[in-house]
Amino acid sequence: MTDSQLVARAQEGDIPAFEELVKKYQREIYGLAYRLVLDAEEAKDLAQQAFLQAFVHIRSFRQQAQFRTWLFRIAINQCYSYLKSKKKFGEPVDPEEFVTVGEESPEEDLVTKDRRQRLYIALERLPAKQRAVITLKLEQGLSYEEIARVLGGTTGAARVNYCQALKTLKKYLQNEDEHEVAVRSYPKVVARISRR
Amino acid sequence: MKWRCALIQRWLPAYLDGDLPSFWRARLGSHLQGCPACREELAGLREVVRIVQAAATPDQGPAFWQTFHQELHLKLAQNAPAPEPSRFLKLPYYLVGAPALATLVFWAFTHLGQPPQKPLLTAMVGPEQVVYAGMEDGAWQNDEYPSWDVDAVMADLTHQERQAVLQNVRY
Repeated sequence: MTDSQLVARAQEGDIPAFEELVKKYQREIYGLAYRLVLDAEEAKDLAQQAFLQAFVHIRSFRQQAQFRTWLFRIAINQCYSYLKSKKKFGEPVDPEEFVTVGEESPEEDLVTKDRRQRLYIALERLPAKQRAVITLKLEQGLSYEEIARVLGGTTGAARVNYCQALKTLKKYLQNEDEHEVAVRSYPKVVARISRR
Repeated sequence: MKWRCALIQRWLPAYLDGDLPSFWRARLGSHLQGCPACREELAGLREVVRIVQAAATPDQGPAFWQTFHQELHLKLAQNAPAPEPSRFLKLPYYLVGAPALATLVFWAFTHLGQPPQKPLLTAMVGPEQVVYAGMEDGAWQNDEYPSWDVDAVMADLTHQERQAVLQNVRY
């Protein structure tokens, strides 16, 4: 059954039809939320909240846009609200917590974990909008037009945003590498500083 | 960094996607052939893309998704929207005005069009309620109730009595 047929049934209050849509897009929405908030438990809650909001407001969806894009937009708005409240009231996240998602897979070696952790630290330093652009472009494979529809603004603005985000991420990753090299070169100095 | 390199490097991420117009793609390609700094920058960006794509969010496993569905199902059931209103109720509001106007016109025609009617005496006071003065005192015999035939009553009167009655009736 196609998305538009499932959406039409969900608009009549058919919960199983909507749950079909959930099964179809749950991984993408969860992945997007995880990349944006960098917290497995919060990402799960936000993904559920996004689906719930979509279900409550599904009658206002006019089928002119793609359901997937509409869903991404809702999820990103949920994540923005969360990040806003976290910025106001939350505590800074410990970078050690970033690797919680990958811990279950036994084949993942230490090097991969280390790389993933460094990536998450760098991603965490990016502004939320740039993180969203990177995720939508590189993970979800959306075109600039679709990104513009999800985040608002023009296609050109989406392209510029992506270019800027990628360059900033590269800079942050290089900084992380340089920091790693410095720590390995001068372990005694680092230990002394950390003791202070 | 040369100003031209700065300008070129701004478009390198889009060049990686192959999402640039052909004019810009050719221009960047020709510049990259002769500029090692920009080639290095491009290689760095390519590496970042590879790292991000390699570190995709791992799948959580069936147990996670089962819990996810159970929790979401409860939330969906609690927040299920009210059933869709019938098609009749979805008619445009201006159509509601037409039957209302027709009803108003009908009411005005039936109630305001006819002249007011005087109520009948018999409807107001039933014949059994007419009580003659002195009837219960036995002042009148059964067949001697006063007649409402004014001419018959007047015929029995003298001229002076008739004049007096007419005088009283007039005033």
